[in-house]
Amino acid sequence: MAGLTVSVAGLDFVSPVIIPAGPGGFGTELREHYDLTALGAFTAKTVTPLARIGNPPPRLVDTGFGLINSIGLQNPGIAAFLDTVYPTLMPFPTHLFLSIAGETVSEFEGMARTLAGVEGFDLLELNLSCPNVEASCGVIGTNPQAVRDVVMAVRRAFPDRPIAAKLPFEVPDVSGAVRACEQAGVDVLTLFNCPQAARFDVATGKPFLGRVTGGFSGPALKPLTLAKLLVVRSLTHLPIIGMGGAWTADDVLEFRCAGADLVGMGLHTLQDPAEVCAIAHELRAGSS
Amino acid sequence: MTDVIVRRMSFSADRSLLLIAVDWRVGARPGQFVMLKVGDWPVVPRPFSICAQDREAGTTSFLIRRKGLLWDQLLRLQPGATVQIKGPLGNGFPDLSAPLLVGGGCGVAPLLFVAATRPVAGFYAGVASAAEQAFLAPLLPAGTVVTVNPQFVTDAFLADRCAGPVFACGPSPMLRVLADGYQDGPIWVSLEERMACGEGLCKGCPVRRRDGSVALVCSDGPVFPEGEVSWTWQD
Repeated sequence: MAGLTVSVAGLDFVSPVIIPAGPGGFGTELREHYDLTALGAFTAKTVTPLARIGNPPPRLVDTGFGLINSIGLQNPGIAAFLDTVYPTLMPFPTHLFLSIAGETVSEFEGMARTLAGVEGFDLLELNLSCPNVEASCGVIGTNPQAVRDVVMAVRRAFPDRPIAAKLPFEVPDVSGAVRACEQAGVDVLTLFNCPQAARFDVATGKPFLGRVTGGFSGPALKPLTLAKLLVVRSLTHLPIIGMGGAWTADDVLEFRCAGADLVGMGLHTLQDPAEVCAIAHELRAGSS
Repeated sequence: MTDVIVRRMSFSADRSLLLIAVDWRVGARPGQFVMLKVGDWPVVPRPFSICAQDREAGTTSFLIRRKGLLWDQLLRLQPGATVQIKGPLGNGFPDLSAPLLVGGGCGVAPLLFVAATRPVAGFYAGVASAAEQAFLAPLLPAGTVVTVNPQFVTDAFLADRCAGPVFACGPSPMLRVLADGYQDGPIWVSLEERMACGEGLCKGCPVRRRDGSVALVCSDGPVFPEGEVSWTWQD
């Protein structure tokens, strides 16, 4: 596997392995306890205009070869994040991506404008697809016109650094969504957010999760993700951050075969961030 | 995660409880827990309170109830097999002497660790069956009050009209009944919740504080002063 050098949207990455938004939290604990220098990038958990307490517990249920989560975008809101969390991340030991979600075009635009004046991070990811909220930010990614509107507004407000759009696994019109991203000025596609999933306790007949459904992740998802990545790869030359089932170094290589440039390892981060960093090191740029 | 060797395994006669000792000598405080998994499946590790540490033998023990996807994997283990753990995690109980201990089900596990490190003023354990009672009897300190129904352990404790600080662990409904009925000392509760990372990253194990904020059972707990805990999610 000679030379996994990755250059995406004008940024050079030491490894194709990244931590996607969510499983690594906001980065404070990770930065404190783990050596992240081998990672291609770390994406901080999504922030929203106002604080969200997230969904009621239980928020997690195991599926054997995966996990269903229903966190619900718990975050302190962008102002508190920038005041209290973000300074603790500086300087960050690898590329830092921030993720935002809003319910309207103007909410996305407002956050993007705020972040345009914040130094120290390298890419802004638009979470257009959280499966665990009622609000419209969970479904924007399914509507090409809504994708186009959000991205164009963010592009204007945040002109100088790359933008990634994170689309839902269940996007009904893939080609439409991809075209909307291209036309509106997206630099990178993040594919995909967790598909919706559920489990029930047969002893009670009730769902395990407080919110009934959640987002599914884990190794069981890999072949489904790879098939969808192939489709998108055939539609666009935009760089792709692939995620959804990558657990091992070989999985990362498989994602690359399917067209991903960078590969997110979410569930493995929950088990042990040090193991993800070790895989990133194994696949570092120029390794052979 | 760290590979550790299984040293001993013993099951209750009804095979509802497993006491498993592994070669792991990292010092931990009573009330702390580890994330544990067996091989590649289930892929997500589970949290288990530390039940005992034998420093001489270099082992750490966990009490595990028959539940969920992990159980079948545990049944296939033999001493000498390898399991994976991450820890110790969480805050643990405060360093108070002579607490009263009230545990329901596998909630007795961290309290056994407490009782091994200090004198206790009383130990109340609720178990699910006579088989579990017989299985746990050698582990419990002399004088422990055991009820063969976890729901009755709080009744037994409250009926004795004890006074002093209490350490409690068990299902949330049990802890809530205890908190509502006990006014004669502070209570620290060790909460049970589903977890994935165990270290505050994923926000998967929330508990609502009475001030409205959200704490995480794994990294802010699992032990909380009862007065901080809101037993309902909604305000």
